[in-house]
Amino acid sequence: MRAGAEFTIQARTQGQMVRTRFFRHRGAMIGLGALISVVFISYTSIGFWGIPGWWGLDFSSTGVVVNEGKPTLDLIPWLDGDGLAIGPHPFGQDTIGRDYFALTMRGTQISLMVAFVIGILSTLLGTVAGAISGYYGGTSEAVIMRFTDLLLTIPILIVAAVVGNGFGDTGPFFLAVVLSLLIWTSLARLVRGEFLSLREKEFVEAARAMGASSTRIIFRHMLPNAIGTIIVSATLTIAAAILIEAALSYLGYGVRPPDTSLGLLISTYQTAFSTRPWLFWYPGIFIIIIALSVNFIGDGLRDAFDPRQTRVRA
Amino acid sequence: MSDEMRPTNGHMLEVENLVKEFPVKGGGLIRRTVGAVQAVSDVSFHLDPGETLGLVGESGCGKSTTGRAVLQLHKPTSGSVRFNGRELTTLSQKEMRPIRRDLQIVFQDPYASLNPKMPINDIVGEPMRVHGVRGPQVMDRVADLLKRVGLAPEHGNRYPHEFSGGQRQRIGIARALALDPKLIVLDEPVSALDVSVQAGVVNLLEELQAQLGLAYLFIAHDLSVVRHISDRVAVMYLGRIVEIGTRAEIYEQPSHPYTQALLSSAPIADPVKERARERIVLEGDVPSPIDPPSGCRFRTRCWKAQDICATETPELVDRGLGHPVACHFAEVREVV
Amino acid sequence: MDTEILSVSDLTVGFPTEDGLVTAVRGVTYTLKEREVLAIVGESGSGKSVSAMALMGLLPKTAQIAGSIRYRDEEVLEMSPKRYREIRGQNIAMIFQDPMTSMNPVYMVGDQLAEAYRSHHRVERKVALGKAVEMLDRVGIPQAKDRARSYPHEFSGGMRQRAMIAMAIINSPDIIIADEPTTALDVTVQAQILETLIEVKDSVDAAVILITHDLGVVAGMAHRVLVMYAGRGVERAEVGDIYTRPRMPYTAGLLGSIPALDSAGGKLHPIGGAPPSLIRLPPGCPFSPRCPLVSELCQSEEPSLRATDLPHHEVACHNWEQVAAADDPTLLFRTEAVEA
Repeated sequence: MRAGAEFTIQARTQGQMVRTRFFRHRGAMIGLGALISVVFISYTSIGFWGIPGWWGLDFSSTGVVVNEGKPTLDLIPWLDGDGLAIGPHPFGQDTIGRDYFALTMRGTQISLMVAFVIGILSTLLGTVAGAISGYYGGTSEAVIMRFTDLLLTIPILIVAAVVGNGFGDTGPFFLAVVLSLLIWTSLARLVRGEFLSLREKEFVEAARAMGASSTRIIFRHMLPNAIGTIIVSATLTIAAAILIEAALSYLGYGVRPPDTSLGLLISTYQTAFSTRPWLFWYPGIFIIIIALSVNFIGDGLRDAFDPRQTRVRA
Repeated sequence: MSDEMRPTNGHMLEVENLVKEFPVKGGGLIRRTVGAVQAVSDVSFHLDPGETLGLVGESGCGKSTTGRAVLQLHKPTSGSVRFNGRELTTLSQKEMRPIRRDLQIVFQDPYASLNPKMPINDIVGEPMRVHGVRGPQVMDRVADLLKRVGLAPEHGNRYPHEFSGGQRQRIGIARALALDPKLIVLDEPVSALDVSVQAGVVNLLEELQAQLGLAYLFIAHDLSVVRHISDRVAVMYLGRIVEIGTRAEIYEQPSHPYTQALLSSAPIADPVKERARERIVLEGDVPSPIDPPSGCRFRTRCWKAQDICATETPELVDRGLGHPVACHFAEVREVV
Repeated sequence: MDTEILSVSDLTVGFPTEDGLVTAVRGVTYTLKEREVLAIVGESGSGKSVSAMALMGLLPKTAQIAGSIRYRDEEVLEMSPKRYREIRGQNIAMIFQDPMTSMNPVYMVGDQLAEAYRSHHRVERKVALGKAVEMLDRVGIPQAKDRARSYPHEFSGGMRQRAMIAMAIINSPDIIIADEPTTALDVTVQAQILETLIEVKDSVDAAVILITHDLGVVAGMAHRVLVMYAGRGVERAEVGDIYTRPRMPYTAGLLGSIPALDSAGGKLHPIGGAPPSLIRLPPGCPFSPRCPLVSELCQSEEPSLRATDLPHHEVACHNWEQVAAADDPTLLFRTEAVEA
């Protein structure tokens, strides 16, 4: 009757609407596809944690340098006339004969791991800090915000350099954790902003009026409404982290041999640019692919959570 | 549910000398308080079961703040709020919690007063869960409440954005009724709704009041709606009540110049009457609540203002006109 | 009243959206004479604001506009952008609802008015500023000369709206479109602004299209009224007739759901249901799901505006005669049995 008459449009939850809009975003879908492919190939090709992969060679065994280590990947069949070929070393070999495809894959694994750890950990930290300062205000807010101001003034590279020097060989995971502790500040500000505006919303007031506890209000009412911002920010942090790790490793403060990362590969072989360009370009391409993909996904998410107004004012 | 503290004499809700100020902070490293917004300055009134007190005034008069201060959503700066004999201003959050079952609020904005991420079953059931009620009785009561406000319980698992403004207000009302309150503060409950929808919600509120014996503190700026639903009316200006009386007294025998100006400005939906009316048009703007005029706060725009108005604040007392008026020169003047 | 200066015929405006084409205005027709005040009344979703924006050419490029808007002898929808710019602001001016956002916060008020003047008159800045001060004075802003050097945020809401009115009349337009000019204002300020608007309109001999949902404001200002519902005009009449002798059930329903300021008691008779979604309109008359007089014809055929028993009074309803026959049409919406 009266109440039913308006439900002519199919009932969809907000979550469903967000998902629909996300999957319609072309850029995001391309990015998602590319990222999934990269993750899949890098982890399955050479395996990880002892599980073997389908690519015969591993990234650490040296060997004879064949044909000056040139890549055997041949994607231009008609030029040479000998058809599409992958060959034993599609990405070539480095100066000591290691298979460069395996090396690049290993580098990708590590870079991805570092980026995701940073993304997730810093998001958690930032959310907690932002939520507390945004909801409670007062002294806790002042303290947390001044602390983030302080952190923001410290150049990441310098800290990373110091940490890298002091704890150099503790591995990329530790590096990722340390970087997370520095990067959470901008997310904290964002979340604080969201909480500040949510705090004034009437449904939060309503919850207080019925006697709900602060915990309930934060978790049941405010966080679910801030989740859009948080997810988008997390994605963008991951994209930034890829590049930060690359920069750090390039400068020598990130991942150390015998392990490798994309940044380290670029750094090690930057001088080979003119003589053996594949040593520089392949890891470079992968950095670009990952960073772009994550950025596109972030764009898609942002649009999905916050569509432009299509309401007509009458 | 809540224990009845029957007052020996006196009213269910007694507000006395209520004051609420908001500090204004200056800039600088350590933000010091440089002034205060005097939102509510010495407001007193009472309310009984089954009664509606309309609180009218324009923006900045403090009516919304008053409503929230009564519910202790804003902690009053000073003054007393007694509910069923019990003083609320000195209670801690914990002590206040059980009393919140009896005191509820319905908000103005149907779009912001419901959590967009919660289905309405959860929204209406939340007050019960917060107060420890569990199990199937929650859902039963939610279905019952939805029916009572004119919504179909089958739509309970839908989200707020799927409902119209009027329906959302009904959901807000259902939520307010969940714990069987005795008093509901209604903060501009129909202002954001279309005209044809307002009437439905107003009718619903009246029915509920008749059925459940609720007391309403009805805060609004629309004088017609207030006249329709209220038993008594209090007119506020810049943080103070300037006139308070029964509906008939305020609308038919307004004695305070501001009340008269307010009533004469409100348009009447009748072309003949509307164009024939004598209008009192006020000069100037509302002064800032940070630095209100001394004495009578209305004096800067009042055509009757004299020296005494600046030096002596008029008290809200009966000056022989039948109901309390805060004006040195109060006299009845029909304007509607 | 005198000559006709504006004639809108079958105006249609559609917006493509994610969910389909939203036809906000579905064939609106009305005329406006010199110095006349026409009130366009409707609730949200009625299309009243969109139709006004169409007049001013302020709709987004994606809007699909059809129909005819004739200003004097020119067809507005076929005008060159240059000619449209000439007309906009000079012959047809608009006052918006929200005085806080309709002025640029970084420029002084006087400068903004002067700019409005200089868009249509080749004069020096000084001359334009003088005109601006004159206008601010005309709308009742005290110390106009000093106030012209203030910024919008230093004005109160009422004063800002006055400044908007000043900006609208500075070029002596023929038509002023006021889109909910007082909705965001307090009632005492509203009274001031409406009074100013009436004075000002007389002083520049302008006609006014007043868009509002407030039937009280309409009662005070309008000569003729167009009631809109779901994107169409459903009743067109002189102001007295609308209130005392409505012929459209929707109008009667509106009148019956407003509480009176000048009397207490009496039950409100709301119109059940809610305005329809503009994407999925019911077949036939869009008001039929909520109409107490609904018949089969109503549900299959959308009624067009037709003449009634009263002069200059048209209505879009198949059953208008029943409305005319009722003593108190608002009671058509009465739902409950008479209380014992």
